[in-house]
Amino acid sequence: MRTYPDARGLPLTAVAASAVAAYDRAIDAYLASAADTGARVEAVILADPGMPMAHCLEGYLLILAGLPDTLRRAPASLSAARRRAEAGTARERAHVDALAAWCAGDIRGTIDRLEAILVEHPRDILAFRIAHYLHFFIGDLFQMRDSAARVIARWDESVPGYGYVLGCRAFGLEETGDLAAAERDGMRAIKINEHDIWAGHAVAHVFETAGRPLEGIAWIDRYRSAWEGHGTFARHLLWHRCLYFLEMEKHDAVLDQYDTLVWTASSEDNLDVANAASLLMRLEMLGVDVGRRWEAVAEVSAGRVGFHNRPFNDAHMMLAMVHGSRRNSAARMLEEMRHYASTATTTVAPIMREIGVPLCEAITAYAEGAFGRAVDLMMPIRYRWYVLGGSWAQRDVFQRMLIEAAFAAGRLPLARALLAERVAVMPRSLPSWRRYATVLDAAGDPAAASAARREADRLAA
Amino acid sequence: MLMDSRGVAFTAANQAAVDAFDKTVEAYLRFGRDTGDRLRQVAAVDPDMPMAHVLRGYFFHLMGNAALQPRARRALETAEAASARLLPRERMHLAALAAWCDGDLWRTVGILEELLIDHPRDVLALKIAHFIHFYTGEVQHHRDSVARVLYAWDESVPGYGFVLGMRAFGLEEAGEYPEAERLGRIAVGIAPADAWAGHAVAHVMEMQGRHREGIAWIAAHEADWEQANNFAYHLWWHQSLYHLALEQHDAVLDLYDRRVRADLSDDYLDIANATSLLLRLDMRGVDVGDRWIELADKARTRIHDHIFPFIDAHFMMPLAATGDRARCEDFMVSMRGWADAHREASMSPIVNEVGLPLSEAVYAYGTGDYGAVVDLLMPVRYRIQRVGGSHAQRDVFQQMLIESALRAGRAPIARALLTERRATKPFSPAAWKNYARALDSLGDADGAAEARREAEALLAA
Repeated sequence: MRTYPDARGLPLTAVAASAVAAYDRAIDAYLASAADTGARVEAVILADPGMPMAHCLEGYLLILAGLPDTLRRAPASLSAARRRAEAGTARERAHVDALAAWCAGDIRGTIDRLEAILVEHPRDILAFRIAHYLHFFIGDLFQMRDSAARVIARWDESVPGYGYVLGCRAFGLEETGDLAAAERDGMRAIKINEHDIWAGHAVAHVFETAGRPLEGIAWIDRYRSAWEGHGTFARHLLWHRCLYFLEMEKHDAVLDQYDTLVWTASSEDNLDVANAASLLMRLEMLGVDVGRRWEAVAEVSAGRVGFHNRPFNDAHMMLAMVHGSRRNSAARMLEEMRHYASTATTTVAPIMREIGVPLCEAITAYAEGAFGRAVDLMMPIRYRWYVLGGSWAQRDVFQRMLIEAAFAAGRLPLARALLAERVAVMPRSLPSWRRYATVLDAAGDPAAASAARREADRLAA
Repeated sequence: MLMDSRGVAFTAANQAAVDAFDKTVEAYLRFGRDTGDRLRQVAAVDPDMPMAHVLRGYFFHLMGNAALQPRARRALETAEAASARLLPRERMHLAALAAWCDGDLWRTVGILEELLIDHPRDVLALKIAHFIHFYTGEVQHHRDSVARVLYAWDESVPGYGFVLGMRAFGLEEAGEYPEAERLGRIAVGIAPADAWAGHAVAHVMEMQGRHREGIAWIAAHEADWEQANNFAYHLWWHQSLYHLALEQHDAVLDLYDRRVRADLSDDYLDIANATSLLLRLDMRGVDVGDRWIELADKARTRIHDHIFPFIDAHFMMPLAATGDRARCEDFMVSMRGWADAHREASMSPIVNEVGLPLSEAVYAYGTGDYGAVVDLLMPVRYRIQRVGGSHAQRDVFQQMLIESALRAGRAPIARALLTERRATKPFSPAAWKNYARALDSLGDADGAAEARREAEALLAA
């Protein structure tokens, strides 16, 4: 078989240029988190069943979805890709190796192979985007930032997809604390293509981290219609929108958006479950009655027991089960997690052992009212749980849980110290100052409490 | 109850002992040359003051010399003999020192942080925790540790400036430069002799590429910092880095001989300053003459120390640079043996995962095996932070990786690394010049010329 150039000039082994054009469309759909991504990949395979990268892309996307069923199907894509890549290019065979490593749970091996591809082929946007995701997935924040910096100098606006690379760089910059540069890149990416929801998401994170909730709401509302067709990920942006309302103490608005935008129907998608559990937990910790909302999320989560290789998602499912009357399922899940942690040989296994299991034990303890135990489980791991992956904004639910547990356990000096740290990290967070005031009152320091309350009132105004 | 000037209680024979102890801690915080004398004065007033023995134990560890470790343990035992009448806080200090003697740095720092929750004005606990966070690469914890206690401090509390200085350095290493600089300057305003705070500001200028300002900053405070102990050499080292960035190599060599290496000591920090500077000069093709030789002589006596892998890698530099292969081999064997024999020590896994490849790479660089340097460092480069030290200090390893990729003819990797570097250090003339070298070897003469123009523009600015 011969090769045809893709939109960025990289040779792809295919039967015809039209197959490569279909492949380009599938890649575009993936980069924009479009709802029809799966259908577009199928269209490529239909157009050219012998195209190695079509199968490889399918394999990547199946693992990305991270559901039991999709993960079971990934090895078939791998063998199809491997067979076809024998006559393919070295780069295509390197992709097959990366997919093979990923199928085996060797995430670091996958990343190494993808980054090696990028050294030679900085415009391989699929390698770049998957590596970006995996850096994020295992909390390698500086790699995520630098990976984009290494390739972007070899791109310019004339290369199709440039905006997507900018958007990824924006997110890497945001997660490593360079908010100004992140905002600049994210906004440029959105100017290039308003459907670039990942770039829009990076800017949403800037507003969250910098404590600019009003701007955040305006930002999301401005692009909501453009992002509507972007499936699950569009709901994640609406989750971010809820976080802004939480920071402004508009709890009714959050509950309303939860029902109408975030959890509109039962979904077993990992991100949907994480969005929902995280939001309900945050609301409950603020003293908001969430009614029976936990139960639907718990039901979906209970259906997933027995399948654990994503501790970040597991922790969210655990939240749902322990708060949504599925204690037995939660206990079984913890057993399964321990089993995975002690038997698997994957990149995630030590993360599961060192962070995932104690965190889920803490979640259980918290729900049982054993707050002191929750504190003791979380304190030793709090500076390492970024290896769970996810963003700072997402993992913040665990920081809040630790503070609430310390307060509920009557460990006032600790609660005070943690809140002192929190307002130093996020000085514009109104609920944090409010909570700080409550804890200072309880700790018998009314002067400091009223100072904190004044700060909260100032922010509220 | 006897209390220090910050209201922290102590077990001692009388107030004079506590006052003398207080003065010792103050001397330690300002890197006073009189620190040892002051500690002896405590013993003269109260030979049995438990915390004085604990402090002596801490000091022996802080000196970073294996030969002093038995004396740290003896100090611990002396303190333990007096433990019947200890306050709970003092008991925690004792346990922290005991854990340090056992090489369990996680436990040491855990105990100290727990102590600080209840005693946020225990400035000794804060400073020791600050040191350990630093040498274990715990950047975020390093930052937050101080944030948690600051509420208990203000200008009326003696030593406030030192706490601000620590906060400044924690913020700087976490990338929060404006706030770091602001607090560092306030601290220096409170106590011009506060070399640690001054050092935090020097780091900000290094990381932001404000080389000329950095030279002026150090020069303006030279008279104050000259009064400090050997930590002053580290400030002259920073001054040398600015000159190096500006390619003022004669100034660097002059500073090296007159100030950085003025007394040819065998202190680990002094040796790290010197070896790091010589290696940086060597990588730029500057002839450093026979300066490596006395360093190699001293390093030869320390190849069984293994205090921190960061230090080991610096001791390896002169051995490798002088071509003492036999001793380099011995050093590697000793390092592996140490990690095997001390599996319970906190540093053991860090030595295995990062320290060994790092020192091996330094060795390979010295012997001209540049390809090996690349192969050893590429897989660990994002984990080098775990060996501790500052970003500015560890940068010597990134520079070594880049220079090796260039010299080994691994042009695509060199280009990728330098693309990344010009994003993180756009102000670095050397980064642009090296980028030009990579582009030249890839046949991109136009790109190379443009990069060279950028370097010249930066140097002329």
